[in-house]
Amino acid sequence: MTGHSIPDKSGQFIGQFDVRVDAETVRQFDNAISLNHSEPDNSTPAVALTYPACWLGLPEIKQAVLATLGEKVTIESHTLVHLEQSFQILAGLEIGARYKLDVQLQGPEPDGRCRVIANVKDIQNVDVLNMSGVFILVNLQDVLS
Amino acid sequence: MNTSLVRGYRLPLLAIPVITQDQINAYLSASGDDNPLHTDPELARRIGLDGIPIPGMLVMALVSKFVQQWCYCRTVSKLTTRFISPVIVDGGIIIEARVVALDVASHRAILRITVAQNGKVAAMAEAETDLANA
Repeated sequence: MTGHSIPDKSGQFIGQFDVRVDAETVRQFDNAISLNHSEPDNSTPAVALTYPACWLGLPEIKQAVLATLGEKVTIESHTLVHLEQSFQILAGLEIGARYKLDVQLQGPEPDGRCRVIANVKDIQNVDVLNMSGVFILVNLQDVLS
Repeated sequence: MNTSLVRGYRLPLLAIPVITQDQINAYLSASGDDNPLHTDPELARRIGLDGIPIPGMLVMALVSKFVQQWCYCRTVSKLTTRFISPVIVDGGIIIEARVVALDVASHRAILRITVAQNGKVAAMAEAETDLANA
């Protein structure tokens, strides 16, 4: 599929983060994306395909990405609007397991677009999942002024 | 492999009649998404939207559920979604898909998926799937 054009170049390494598949969050996430809202399900489901995107919203990861985009870019002043996202699943995520999340940033381009690339490995360093998202940086102050 | 599954096969469409602010809030809470665009109608209005936009990742999650519930899908190995126009709260969406590539020998298929609201394309996705024996 043709995506939003971000030059294919090596990204800036943001950091490696320890993340965990939390059973309660998995259950809440699965209920939130359920196609059948008639009966809340309290059982523990399999980890949803898009669940790992939650990790990119963790404050320390989000702030690290925003800080790389500019000195004055903070969670309070800016937000990232999603233009495109992909997941490549190499192995299933296990509830309760810990993983290592390597995050890279490409951009920002002059129009504010950037690509966040995240690779998930298990604690044995085996690749589990690759994520890539294209975002546009929006200054909330510009919108509100 | 079921021989009725051919390139061009259209999956049964999924119509979700309405996505409410409560559903958005549940998603935001579960996912940790704190983008004010998904909760502040005034902010949405200021950027020219008719209402609060549903998080793109919620739309993508619904697409992933749609694909995974397809009777021929065993697993999804790759899913890519482009968010083209906002899906607005309190409206519904229609998800449609067709098989655009099929490798019977390796039991793999590629689906092209469209998400629309009020007849306007909101997102396009592509899923690579391992097929279950039918």
